[in-house]
Amino acid sequence: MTKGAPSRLSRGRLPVVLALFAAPSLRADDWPMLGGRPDRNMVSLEVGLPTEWAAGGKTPAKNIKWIAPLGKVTFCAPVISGGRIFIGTDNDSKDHTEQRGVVKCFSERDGKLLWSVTHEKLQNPAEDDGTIGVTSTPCVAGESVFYVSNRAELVARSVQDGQQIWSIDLRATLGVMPNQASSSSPLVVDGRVFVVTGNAADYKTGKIKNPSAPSFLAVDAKTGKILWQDNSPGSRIMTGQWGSPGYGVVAGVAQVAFPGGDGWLYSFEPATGKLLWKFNGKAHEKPLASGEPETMFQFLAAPVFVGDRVYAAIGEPEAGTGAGALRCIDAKQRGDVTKTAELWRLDGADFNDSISMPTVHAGLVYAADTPGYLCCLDAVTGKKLWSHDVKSNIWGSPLVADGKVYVQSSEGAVFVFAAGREKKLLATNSSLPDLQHGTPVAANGVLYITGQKQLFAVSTGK
Amino acid sequence: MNTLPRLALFALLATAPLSHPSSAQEWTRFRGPNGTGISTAQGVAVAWTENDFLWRVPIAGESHSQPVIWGDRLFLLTAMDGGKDRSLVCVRKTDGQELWKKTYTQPTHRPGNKNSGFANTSPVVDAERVIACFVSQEHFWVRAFDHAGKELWSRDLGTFASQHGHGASPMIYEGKAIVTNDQDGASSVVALDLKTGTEVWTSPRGAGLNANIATAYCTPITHTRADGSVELLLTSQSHGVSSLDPQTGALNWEAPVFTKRMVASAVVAGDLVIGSCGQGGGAGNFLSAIKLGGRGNVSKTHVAYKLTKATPYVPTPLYLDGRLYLISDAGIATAVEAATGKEIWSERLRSEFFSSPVLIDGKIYCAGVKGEMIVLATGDTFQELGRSPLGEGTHSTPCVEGGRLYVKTFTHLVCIGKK
Repeated sequence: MTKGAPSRLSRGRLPVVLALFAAPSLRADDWPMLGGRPDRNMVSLEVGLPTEWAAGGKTPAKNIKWIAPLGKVTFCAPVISGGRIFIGTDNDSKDHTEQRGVVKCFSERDGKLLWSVTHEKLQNPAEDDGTIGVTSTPCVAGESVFYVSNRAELVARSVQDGQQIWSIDLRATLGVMPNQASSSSPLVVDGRVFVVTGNAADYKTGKIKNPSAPSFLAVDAKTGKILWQDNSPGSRIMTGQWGSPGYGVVAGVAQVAFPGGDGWLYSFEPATGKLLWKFNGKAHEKPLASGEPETMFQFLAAPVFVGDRVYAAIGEPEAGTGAGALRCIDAKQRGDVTKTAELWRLDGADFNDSISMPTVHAGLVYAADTPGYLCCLDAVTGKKLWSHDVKSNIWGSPLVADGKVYVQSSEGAVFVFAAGREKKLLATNSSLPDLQHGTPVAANGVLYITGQKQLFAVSTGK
Repeated sequence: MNTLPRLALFALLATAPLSHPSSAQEWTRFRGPNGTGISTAQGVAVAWTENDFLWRVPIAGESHSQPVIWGDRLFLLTAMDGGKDRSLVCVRKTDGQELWKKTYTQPTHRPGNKNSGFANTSPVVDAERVIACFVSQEHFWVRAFDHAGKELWSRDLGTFASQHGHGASPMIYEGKAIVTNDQDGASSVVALDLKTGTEVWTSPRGAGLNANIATAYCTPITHTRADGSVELLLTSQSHGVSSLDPQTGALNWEAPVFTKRMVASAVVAGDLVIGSCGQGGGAGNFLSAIKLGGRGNVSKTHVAYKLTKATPYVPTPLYLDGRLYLISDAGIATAVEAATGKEIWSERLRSEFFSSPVLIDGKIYCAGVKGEMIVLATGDTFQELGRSPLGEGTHSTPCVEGGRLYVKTFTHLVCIGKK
């Protein structure tokens, strides 16, 4: 996969296949996008990461390197690149002006704020919910950082000072109508930015105002010029499109896969936008007599590419909870591969709805569902080896790093398991304040835990 | 029952009618007697099949309205045609036969929300009247009817602004219908004369706060203090748990310590009152126990404890014998020591809940979204006693009377219990 990635991303990185099946490298590295790499597989090569930590207060702080203030509500994971940390949030509670979307840039060394930028809210909360800020996890490539603002703008900024390089207003330019949140996390490979536009059904009427507006977009990273677009989900969008693309090189062919609001996964040739394959994530469901889908579940998390396979689950928390489906899909096939490419599926009572990216490491898959079960499966057969009930929702994704699996619950606990075929809970860390939904990430020897109001850099200091 | 020693059975038969003289009027409002959710009925089954339903009838439209009962009549609300038509329906309790229906057209432009329909609330009933609310963006109608369905009076409290619509049920206190109007616009709690609908008092609420947070979904309860005086207990994000004088509407005290929307109603637990707040996704939901008996703003002085694990957002907790029972939206059942908040047990039920649990004969009845009634034992040990069908999913709280359960599911009303 590193073949297709820009030189900055591939610098010093082991081929993924080695990372998956060999001992972890001692090399430390950046984490410049959602999932760390274009394949979106949340495996970090960091070592010496802490198993336990404490916030301080009544008991002494333990393994806390620094704490940086965020806004009031934070749904993103941080990304780390070139000594800087970027994260989307909102304005803080001491700021008594109107709610805003905010992107902050901190120094990786000490958590000092380097710059921040704000975006006004859209007037209509049906397009930009009044309670949230920027929910797109940024992507750093070279000297630029890319994200989608709460106003549904795809924005490129200088990592140095936050100066805008270019911006595309997806609503004004392309007729996109978002549903309450614009949360796609861009992906940059080979100078192209890929993003889900968020075109959606109107939150109030359920009608799709503009089915011809694109759902998937490829943009030139330097100039902001649109390279290609696709509106395949079109009038079949159920509610909204909040997912993010994933990228892999499968049997020598690069592909970028987008989750669509119609419940399908679409994989394209990155350079041309030519469709390689598509898969119906709702094929196992039984539509209602009225023709309505059984659930509003769709692929929301980015698809994860490992080898020739794609791992992805369906869910949608606003649509309730229930039987979901986690799938392993053969990405070598072409066309409508729904009937032929499913290598295994975990569903029914075994796996609920999920908006979390599965993580694949050493022949095992770690996957979390929304109701709060973390499962470990055999990556080849899909057989469930163990599961743990955290008794609280999980929206974030599990991180595999340093022989451990880190997963954060909505009630503020970060559970740490030993990676492996047998369940071993090493620690439950619940002392950090204001933790809710979040995804732990690691870079350059430091673990980052995101709270609603603060970002915690956690390190043994070794 | 038939395994009980004869003496015990005799004792039950002898004392039950004496201790519950008004059992025919035990479920006249949301969550039954004073909104406690506690029924005095005995001998209700803990498990059944659909063949055991005494009756099950369709109710036109959809609703989450908990039925209320007086004599042989059940009263509930429903909404047809996407909320444009709202009806108060009267059903005979013996066989589910519809006796009458009053329908009002009420245009609505509120966003669709699968979880919150257009008839979420319960009517309240006494010997002479049924009071029900019909709320849309344009109007907040409070209407009174006699038991035969004749409209006695109506009163419009004005517009209603809210993201998820209306969900607070009216209650009756000493000749007054008390209606909470906590919303994103101008908010108040209003007492209307039961006979005429004229305003007895208005208590202004939460002005000047973030408009997005003001809508609350609680139904008030009363609390009788040691000196015999009575206070109204309410929950809302704007005032947290608050206490009003039911005769004047004057604010006695408030604990505005809740940072998220409040849907569950207040629960008195010994010398504490419980409030909980949250959001649909379950993140950051919490429950706080407030000491009764304060004056003014008691945020800094009367918060006994705060719980953050598996606390409910929509379902109201239950209190019995020193323990609080929490059934979370995501389906985790937890028992805690009410005085301290210390967890006794916590187990996953593998279901989801909007309905509030009710206590019948010391057992917890939980009506799940997917249409099953899960019955749990109270006490220091978690025990699932039964899991039975309701015929359809529900967001509605059961009505309990005379050894029978009346459960409004999305489109039906079902009767379960003693033949």
